[in-house]
Amino acid sequence: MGIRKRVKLGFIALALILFSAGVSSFMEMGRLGDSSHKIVDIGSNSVRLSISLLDLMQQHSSVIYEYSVNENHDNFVNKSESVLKELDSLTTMLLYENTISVSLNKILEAKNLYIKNVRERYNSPKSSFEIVYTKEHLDAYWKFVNSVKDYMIQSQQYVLKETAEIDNGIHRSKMFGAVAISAMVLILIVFYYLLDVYYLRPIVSLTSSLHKYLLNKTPFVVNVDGRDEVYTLKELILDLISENRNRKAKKRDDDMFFND
Amino acid sequence: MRFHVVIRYAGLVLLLDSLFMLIGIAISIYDGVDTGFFPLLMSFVLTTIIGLFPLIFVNGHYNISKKEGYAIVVGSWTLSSFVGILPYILWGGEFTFVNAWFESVSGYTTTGATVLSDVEALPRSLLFWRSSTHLIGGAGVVIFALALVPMMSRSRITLSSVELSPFVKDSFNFKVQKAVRILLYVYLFLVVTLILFLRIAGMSWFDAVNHAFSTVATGGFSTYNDSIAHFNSIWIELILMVYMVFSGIHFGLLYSSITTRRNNIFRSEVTRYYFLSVIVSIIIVTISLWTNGYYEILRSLRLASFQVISIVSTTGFATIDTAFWPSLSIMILIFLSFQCACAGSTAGGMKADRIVLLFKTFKAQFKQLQHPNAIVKIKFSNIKTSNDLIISTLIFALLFIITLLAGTIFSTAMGVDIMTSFSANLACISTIGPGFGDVSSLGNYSTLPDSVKFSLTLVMLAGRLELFGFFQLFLISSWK
Repeated sequence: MGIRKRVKLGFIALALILFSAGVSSFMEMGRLGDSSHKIVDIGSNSVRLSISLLDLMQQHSSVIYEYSVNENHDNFVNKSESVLKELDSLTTMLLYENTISVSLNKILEAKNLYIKNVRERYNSPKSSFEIVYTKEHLDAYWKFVNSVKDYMIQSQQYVLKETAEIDNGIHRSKMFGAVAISAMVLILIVFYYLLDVYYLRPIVSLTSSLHKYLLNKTPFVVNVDGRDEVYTLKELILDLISENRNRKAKKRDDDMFFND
Repeated sequence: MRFHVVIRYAGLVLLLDSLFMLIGIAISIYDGVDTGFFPLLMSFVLTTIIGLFPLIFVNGHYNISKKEGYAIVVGSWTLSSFVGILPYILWGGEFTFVNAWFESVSGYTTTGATVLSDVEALPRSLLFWRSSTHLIGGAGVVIFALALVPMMSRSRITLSSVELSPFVKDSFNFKVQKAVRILLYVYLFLVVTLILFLRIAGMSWFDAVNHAFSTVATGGFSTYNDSIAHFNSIWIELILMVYMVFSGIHFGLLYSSITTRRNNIFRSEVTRYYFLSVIVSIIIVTISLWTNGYYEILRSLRLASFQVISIVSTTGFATIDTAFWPSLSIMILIFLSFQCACAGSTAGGMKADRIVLLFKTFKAQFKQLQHPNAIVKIKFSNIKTSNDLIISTLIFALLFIITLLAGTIFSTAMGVDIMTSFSANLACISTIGPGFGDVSSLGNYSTLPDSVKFSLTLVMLAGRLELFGFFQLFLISSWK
């Protein structure tokens, strides 16, 4: 392998380290970005839907209070149905937007029980107070409210878990950079050392030996490890020296012949 | 010393590491790209580049001197341990730099001590990498280099003087290359057959592979927090016990026994002593557990057998927490932690060979005192032992105790209690893994201070490099 190819490969190795660190960090950052978007979406959706559900329950309670005061049955049914329909559509939306692995069965069950309970009492001959403030109604009410609270807690737990993952991801991204820099430093040191052993030292040694040979005619002895251009250069210099020596010897012989 | 030659061969060992990282990546992809994928991918790329880099410049036509061989061994261990931390620190979790370094050194030295309080939190790809460090370390990074390097170039190599215990060379009548090849074949044969047996006994393929790596390398990393206790299977325990015992015997002797050569395990004085010490220890520990009312007799026998074999073979698997056992049982296990198994195996510690030689030396010394004019010869497997071997064994024993004491004093100075300090250092120098106190068989090293964890990694490396190999590092004149 020649000098050019070796040096090129050395730089390619360095570039590869940089490239792989960059790609890994880029992908890790991409994943971090996705995760944080997801966390924001989940967090805001969960808060929005939970508030809406609890608001609707409060609204329905107000309808019931109003009925217990004015005893207007038709008005009560109309208003109650409007709130319950909204409650139904909101829970459907919750099902549709449930992007996390949180069980919604509890909410759905509680909602169905609550709506069923209220609707069963629309045509009851009993007084308004007796209709709504039964044990069954209160149980259904609290069951639904608690299921919404559970959903909020589960969502927050999921967000916490995802945030911990993000924290881990940030650590990974930082470490990718740190490790790549350390590897680069190591490779650079090795690269410099190998360039020194195979090229710098031999070239300096070649120059100084050639210089000494030309000045004092000291023997030209240089050790070159590899079998590349530097080695060829050394061999060529040796050839040149021996050719020069032969030419001089021949000239001396010729001079002696003519002198004789 | 030609450092470029050293880094060339150390780089080849790194390529072996990267091969196992690649398998880890494949497992990660199989598991749907788990969290170990990117850390392993990045580690693979870096390790491969670092390993290949010297090959661009350095040709493979060098004759390697003894000093260069030594430097290759130490360089390979150190570099492998460094690249071994990459998947851990890139993954994060419980792995700080010190924790990752501890886990990596513990893996490569086949110690099997862990700093993880929840091993099961690791993805399967990383668990595989963790067990692979045992496999690579167990065969000895150097044995790998010895077996692979000659295939890749025509270099004459003299690495064995550091890595292989002197007893291996003395008792082994094969040429080094052939010897190493045989060791490797026996090692791989044990791994493959153990995987099959564990699978038949009910382990999943993944667990079977990981536990086989750990067992034959006498490491001790498990894929579960409760180690072997997780399986609660008598068959798995029996299979592991048989393989742990065999992994502690000179691999060359195992080979000789199979190929019916004269020098086999039944004729070897050391192996006979090894078997005897295991059987006697099991009996004493069983009786100790039974008579102290810990367990009924059969359960005592089952637990005692597993723990004794696990400690003596330096594997360190656990089926119960031995920290609460009676004092006699603990003392027997501590003695076995000193003695360990035979030279020429993957086990660490003082080795049964040295213990036998020490006993014989003491006996000869008493005889000499009784008969001052007598010429007392010490024979080891019917061959007269040289004085050099006896002196080096005595120095080794002394150095072992000094290192152990120094490590214990340092740990106690850092605020660790004396039982934990002593047993942790003993477990690390003998490459066993679990000790007593806070680092008992079902415990871990996570509670120790970082400085102690770091000093324990040095103790592990010293134990793995047979002490002399490690301390030579600090003799600067030997590098000239």
